[in-house]
Amino acid sequence: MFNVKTTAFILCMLVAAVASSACSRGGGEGAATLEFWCYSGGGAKDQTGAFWQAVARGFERANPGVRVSVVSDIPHNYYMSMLGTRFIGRNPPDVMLMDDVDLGDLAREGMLTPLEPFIRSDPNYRSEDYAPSMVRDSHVGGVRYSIPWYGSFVQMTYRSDLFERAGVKPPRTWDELLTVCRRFQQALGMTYPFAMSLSGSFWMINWAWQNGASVVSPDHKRVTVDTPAFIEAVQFVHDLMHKHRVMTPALTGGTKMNDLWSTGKIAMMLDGAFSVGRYDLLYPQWEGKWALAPLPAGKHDVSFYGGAHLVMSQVTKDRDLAWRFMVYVTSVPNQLMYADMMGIPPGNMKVFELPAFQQRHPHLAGMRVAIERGRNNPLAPFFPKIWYDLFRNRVVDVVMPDPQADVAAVVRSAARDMQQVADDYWARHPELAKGLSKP
Amino acid sequence: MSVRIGHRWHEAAWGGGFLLPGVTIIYGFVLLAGLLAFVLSFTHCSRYGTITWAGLYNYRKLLTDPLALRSFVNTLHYVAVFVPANLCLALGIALLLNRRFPGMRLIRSVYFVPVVVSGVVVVSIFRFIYDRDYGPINAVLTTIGFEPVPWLWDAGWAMWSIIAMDLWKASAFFSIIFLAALQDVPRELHEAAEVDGASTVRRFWHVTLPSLRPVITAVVALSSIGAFRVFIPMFVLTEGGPAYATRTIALHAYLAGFRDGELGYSSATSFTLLGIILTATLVLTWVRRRDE
Repeated sequence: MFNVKTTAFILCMLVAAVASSACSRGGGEGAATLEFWCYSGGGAKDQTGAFWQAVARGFERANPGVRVSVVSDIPHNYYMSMLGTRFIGRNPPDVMLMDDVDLGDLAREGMLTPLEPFIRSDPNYRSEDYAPSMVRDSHVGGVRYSIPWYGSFVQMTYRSDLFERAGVKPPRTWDELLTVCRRFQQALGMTYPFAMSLSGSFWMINWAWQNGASVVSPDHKRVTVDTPAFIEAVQFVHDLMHKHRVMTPALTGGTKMNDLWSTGKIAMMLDGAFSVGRYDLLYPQWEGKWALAPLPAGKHDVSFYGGAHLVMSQVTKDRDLAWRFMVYVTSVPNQLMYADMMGIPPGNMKVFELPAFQQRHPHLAGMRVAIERGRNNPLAPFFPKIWYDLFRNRVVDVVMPDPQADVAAVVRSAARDMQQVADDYWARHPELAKGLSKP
Repeated sequence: MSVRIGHRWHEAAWGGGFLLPGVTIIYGFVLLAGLLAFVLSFTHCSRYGTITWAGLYNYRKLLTDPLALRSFVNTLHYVAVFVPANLCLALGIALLLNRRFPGMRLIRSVYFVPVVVSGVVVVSIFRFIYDRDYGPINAVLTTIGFEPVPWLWDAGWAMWSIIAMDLWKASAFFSIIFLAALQDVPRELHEAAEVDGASTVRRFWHVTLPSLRPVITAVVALSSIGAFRVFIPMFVLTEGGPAYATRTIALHAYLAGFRDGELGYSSATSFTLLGIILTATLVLTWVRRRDE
């Protein structure tokens, strides 16, 4: 059936395959391998892959015999789904990056390694170097499961040249915001000087916090968007657009913020620190003509600050090695490199004190106040559903395009459905009802 | 005799061998996975695999969840508009294409282009077409003095915009099916009706349409199944918004499972949708058999 040549060829191939397999196994013996995962697209210049490869190679040089395998090209939207598959297969990466809101479920299901023993015994890691709010977010049920990686704040980005021409300074309060906008309308003839994205509910929470309101109660059992303070905050934003006519309504109809900013139709906008690094790339026409300021304060001086953390999986074989890697990547030099490559404020606050950082990132360095007054979204597991889905669709999408909307009635109606989601969660997880966000 | 039995056995063994990979894939990856998903619908299953028995909780929740109800209503809205519109449009295009004139083959090929374009690509094209500030539709509207319409950003327009987009893509496919069926209608029937003095409209009603009845039933069944499962445009274009105007039941199931981590509830939603589709298909089959 087979001739001699064919048989000889097959035998040669088999021998080659066995030999190469043996060689590759022999070469890998003794080398510890660490797998690290992070999502891409979070950076202003999106050099995620390049950064993590550089860090991994640096760690390998500092730890001969160690190999770090980096997976860094998963888009943020699909990251947790893909990571979830690895966890279900009980084969997760050793170390991974994760948004604070995703920590809770994994920690409660026993998928993560508690880090307190490592932190206590390692003089190279100092929790005091990180923003207290991010350290607080590292805990689930009183146990620490993560270390902060980066934190992003929300700020007012404004055209400094226009502010100079109008003879005004960035607004510090809600009243000043109105005054400054009116000044722009009168002095420069701008129709709508101020813009805030309404393609979601992310930005809205800042106004509520500033008015002393919150989305859920501290124990995460009760949805509190129907309180007078919360409704007043939503009404204020609605009024900025429809009553005072200083905030553009175009964004409720699909106009993009980038278009308004790039064409100079607005003088200030709410934006996140994660975008700051790309301003000069996207809008070279405004280079040197923009600056950052904290959000104008309401009754309380507070705005968003939250971000991503590093965690270690429960099934990591070499936990000491994984911890060493986590400490290495959060060291000051690596965090500075992260800021340089990504344009994002690092989590390690020691970096803010470096002259090199202050020189290369003056806008970010000047916004330390936004971190100090920062507050994170509640880490209730159902928060994304009630806030980013229900509040957006039931309130933001309904009241913001409608000048005649009955804001209070719409918010109260949405609050009932949001509460139903919270009740359903606690009914399914009675064992988790205690100690959800205990620091 | 023994030769024949041996031959048959040999043939059956070969046939079985060829069938084995397909059968393994279908039973192993589709039916088994489907069975597991059905069992999952009676559990609380987290996104990380922790499972507890829930009985009928997820199905009861489906009945009381206002968002699920809204998603069902939106899906029915989509089906009720899309299916008849698709039927009329596809049949109309097929009737136009069923004529003989120079360049007809090229025109038929052009009409088929939407079918071969990927759904996500179509969605991306229409995202531009529907753009409020730069889209060509609004450019025309503003040129003739109308205000630009936020096609995908207005709760009143979003679903209609998506239906229009899906009709553009789906009618091309179904028009080809109708075209094939039209070419099978016996020419003698038309000639006899013409001799009897029947007008074009009467010939369509009394000759063409009755001949197409089995194809019409098949088209309605196929487009209904597709319409009940509609997902990609809502997921990519509007994420179910604005104000839940485009949230369909398939999207509801996806978000429950992969965003909210409620895999049991997501499975229950999916199997309820499967039940609806099966019921609709059975009704259509019964109608077709009754007609026959």
